Amino acid sequence: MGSTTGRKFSDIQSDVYDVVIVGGGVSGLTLAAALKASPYTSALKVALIEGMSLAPATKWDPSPDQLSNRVSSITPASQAFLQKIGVWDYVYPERVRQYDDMRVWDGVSGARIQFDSFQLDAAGAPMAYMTENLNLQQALLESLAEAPGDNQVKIFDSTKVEQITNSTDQLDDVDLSSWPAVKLSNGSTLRARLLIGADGVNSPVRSYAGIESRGWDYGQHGLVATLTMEWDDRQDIAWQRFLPTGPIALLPMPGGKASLVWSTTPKLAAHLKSLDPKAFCTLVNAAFRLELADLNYLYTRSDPEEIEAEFEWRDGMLPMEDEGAKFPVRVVEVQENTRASFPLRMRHCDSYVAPRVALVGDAAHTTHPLAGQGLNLGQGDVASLMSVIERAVVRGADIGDEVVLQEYWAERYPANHVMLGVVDKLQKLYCTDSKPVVALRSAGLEVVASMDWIKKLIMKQATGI
Amino acid sequence: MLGTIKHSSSRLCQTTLRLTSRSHSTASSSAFSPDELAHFNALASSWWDANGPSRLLHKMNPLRTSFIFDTIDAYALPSKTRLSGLKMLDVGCGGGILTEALARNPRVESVTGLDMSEQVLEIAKKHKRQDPKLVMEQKLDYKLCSLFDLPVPEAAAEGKDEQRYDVVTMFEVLEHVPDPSALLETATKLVRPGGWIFASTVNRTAAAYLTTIFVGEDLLRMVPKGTHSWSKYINEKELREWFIEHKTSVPGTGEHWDVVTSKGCIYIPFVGWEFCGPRDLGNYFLAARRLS
Amino acid sequence: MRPLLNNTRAIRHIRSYTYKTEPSKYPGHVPTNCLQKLFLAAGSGIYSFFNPRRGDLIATLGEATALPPLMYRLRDVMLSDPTGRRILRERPRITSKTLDIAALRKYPANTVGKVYSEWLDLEGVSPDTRAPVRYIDDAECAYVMQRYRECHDFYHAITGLPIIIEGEIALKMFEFANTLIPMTGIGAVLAPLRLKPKQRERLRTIYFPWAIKNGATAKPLINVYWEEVLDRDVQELRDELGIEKPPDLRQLRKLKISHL
Repeated sequence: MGSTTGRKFSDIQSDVYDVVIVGGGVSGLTLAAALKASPYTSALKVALIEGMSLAPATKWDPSPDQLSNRVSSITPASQAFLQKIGVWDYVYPERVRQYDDMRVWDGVSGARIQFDSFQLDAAGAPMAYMTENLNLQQALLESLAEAPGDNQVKIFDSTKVEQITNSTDQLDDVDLSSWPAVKLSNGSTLRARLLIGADGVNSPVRSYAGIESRGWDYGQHGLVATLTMEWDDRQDIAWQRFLPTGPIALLPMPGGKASLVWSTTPKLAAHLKSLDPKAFCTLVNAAFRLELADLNYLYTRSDPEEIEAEFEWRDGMLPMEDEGAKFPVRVVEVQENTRASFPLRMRHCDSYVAPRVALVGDAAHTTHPLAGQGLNLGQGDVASLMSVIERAVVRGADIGDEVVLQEYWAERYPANHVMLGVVDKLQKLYCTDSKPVVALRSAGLEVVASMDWIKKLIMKQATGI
Repeated sequence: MLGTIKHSSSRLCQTTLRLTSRSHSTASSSAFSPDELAHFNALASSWWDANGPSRLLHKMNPLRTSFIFDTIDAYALPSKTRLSGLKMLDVGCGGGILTEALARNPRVESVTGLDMSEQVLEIAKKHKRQDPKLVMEQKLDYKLCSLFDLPVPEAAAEGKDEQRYDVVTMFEVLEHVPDPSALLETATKLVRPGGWIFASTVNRTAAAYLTTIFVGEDLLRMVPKGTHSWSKYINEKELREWFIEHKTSVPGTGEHWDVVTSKGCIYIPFVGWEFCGPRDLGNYFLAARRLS
Repeated sequence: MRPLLNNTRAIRHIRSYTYKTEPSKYPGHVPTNCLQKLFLAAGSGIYSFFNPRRGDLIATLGEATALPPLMYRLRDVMLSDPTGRRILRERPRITSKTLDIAALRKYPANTVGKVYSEWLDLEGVSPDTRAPVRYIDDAECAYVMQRYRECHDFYHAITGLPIIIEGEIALKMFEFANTLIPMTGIGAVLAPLRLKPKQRERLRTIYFPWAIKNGATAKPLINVYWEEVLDRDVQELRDELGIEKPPDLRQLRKLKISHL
């Protein structure tokens, strides 16, 4: 065969890992924490790479009245998993708010439906938990730091991945040519038995694996903001109104605050971001309460006093008893610098795996935020991949073996495909004000609203219970 | 039927002896026919292709490892059976799918894989090099030889047990050799008291023909054509009786075996191999334990 | 037998259409359900066909056929315009009390106010002849209907169409194209059945084309704050709204011209 190079495995051993996770977001960190929490996999050598600094999470010391605008809705299934791997104990509970009631209605016809998690008979489990992503990240990082010191996850933050190729090491005793080699901006190159792509929608790991991602852009932007409500009605309700330009959702947060997720046209999103804060709050209130004709008129105005006056007039005509029942309590303030927007799209990969590669979270799929499922699909991926890796370790398989990884894809792909499909169809159904479609969808909604068993089925799917 | 096979194979192996000119063809009945050898050699390069002709073998592996360790844990003979530090021998290891999995198990101290096919064993050795853990831990070893070529300690004398094995595995081997009885006989001599022989093969039934050859090879082509020949299949009852009636060739040594468990298994498309179905119908696994 | 009839689900369902009563939402409001509206529409439609002078019945027909989607549509037209919104908020009424007709007569020639008062005198009508809205179940939509009725005379004034039946029909078609109120469409289509062929021809060749073209392209007249434009030049207002003055109907009738 070839001549010997004199280099042996022991020369590069310190850069060789069982699992290399690219991406320090919630999905990547959860997988790392899960690997360390399981007795079967805790002996694996794991590295995690994140391009940004993780200091905002590790040094997080937020004040009680300031909430980050990057928040997530966590289903009971995801929370149970985080509990199981010991991470939930590190989450700051005072910065978590659960909701168990969800009120959704058609912005054109007014057809309504209400979901109540009490109907699930699931021992008081809520519909979902709302918390800041930073809260989760700091809990995950703390859980990783608490693991036994001799085999902790090696975290490379503020380190970018410059290139991923197959390993070109020429060693005498070991052949690593089938192993991915990840070249970092700090000069070192990590070799991975199993490379995990938890690196978001433009995943470099996915490109390396040659996996195609299919989907489309929605032509909408998701506008988020942290809002203060007029008072905390302690009702723990999540509100969503489907406007023809996109759904607007208000999710309760601790301390009488709420998180806004408003999917709308890019033009409107830009306009809303530039509005005076008081005018912005009025428009949010209007978006939940007023008729579409009023809302469309208000979009064209920018003087805060004028907007306020118009809103007060129309709001005054609404029945008092609807307040807190048909639409949320008023928003009075928007936290500074929390108005931000991002483009909305749907993406799904053909495959989540390749030899020695697995994708989790946004690297594998992206969905519209209208169903609050984005982060939870990623958590489901992590839970499934963990179970597959555990089984592989127990039976002595190579965790990077394609036959092993295919079990993960086979478990997650169908469920994710269905969820992505349903959310996509809902988005298309509600983003029109064409009369026949509105009539049909409203009739359909009212039928579903009157049937408890269908509602229970929907809630079971959405909460993962 | 096993007895019949033995007789007919003696005629057969005289034929093969005349034909074979390989330097290391054994003196006793040849362990492998040239046809079988050629068949597996041709599959060598695709052995480790997860989506290739050997995919079903890969999918069967989890069942094999769980069968081995679950049986050891459930039926261990107290003070005789070792639960860890196991010394294992895999007969007909092929490309090493099972052998590697055993070597990675922390309860295993060493694994030796035997195969008669040079090309396939090359693939096995090459694949072993791809895993640093296997290379550095040095628990895994491959030998190009037949079981008959291994040195057999003669009696259960003091210290000879160290040359014996805790576990001998013969998965999907018995239906490929001309003299399964001789193979089993040799295997029994290599097992320590409290040790095991794990085997899997196929029942010689019409149903097995239907599933493994007609559907598996001809129709769906999930198994390479020519892998199996129905006349060589062995019924579970025959194999079981062989162990129970087995007596060592050395009189008075009191070597006894019992069959602790056997399970039927079936391949479900899109799911994988599962233990289900009667043990005397199609594929099956069998575990035999040496009592003394 | 009676108890059986009382309890079947079908009966209860039908009853809900007939017995449902809502509270009154504005002064003069008479709440009605679907079935009652159907009867009102049928009755007033048949009677006013034979007796078009019964303004109150035509009003009833208009209210009974004003399906909510179309009324809300007209209201939304007002809500989309700053002036329209002001009108909805301030809810001005046009009556002989709120408008000083005597003063309007003294306005300069060709102002909206002057033309309006001239037209009122020519036709011999006053703003008070409009029936109040009773059968529309939303207070705001009821006001919209009321406003539309009260502005009707201004539409006559700005278009110059006379109060005779031909003029009314032409204006109805114009209003239908501009507001989509069903009653205006029904009137414009059914009423010509009682006309002479020459009159029908005049409508068909001259006035309906004018009405449809101008009604559809002009700005919604419901958004004009008439009380504020009384001193403006009529032609200027027409240009701003995008209305062409149609041929003088009285002249054409005198000259017995049925097409141009």
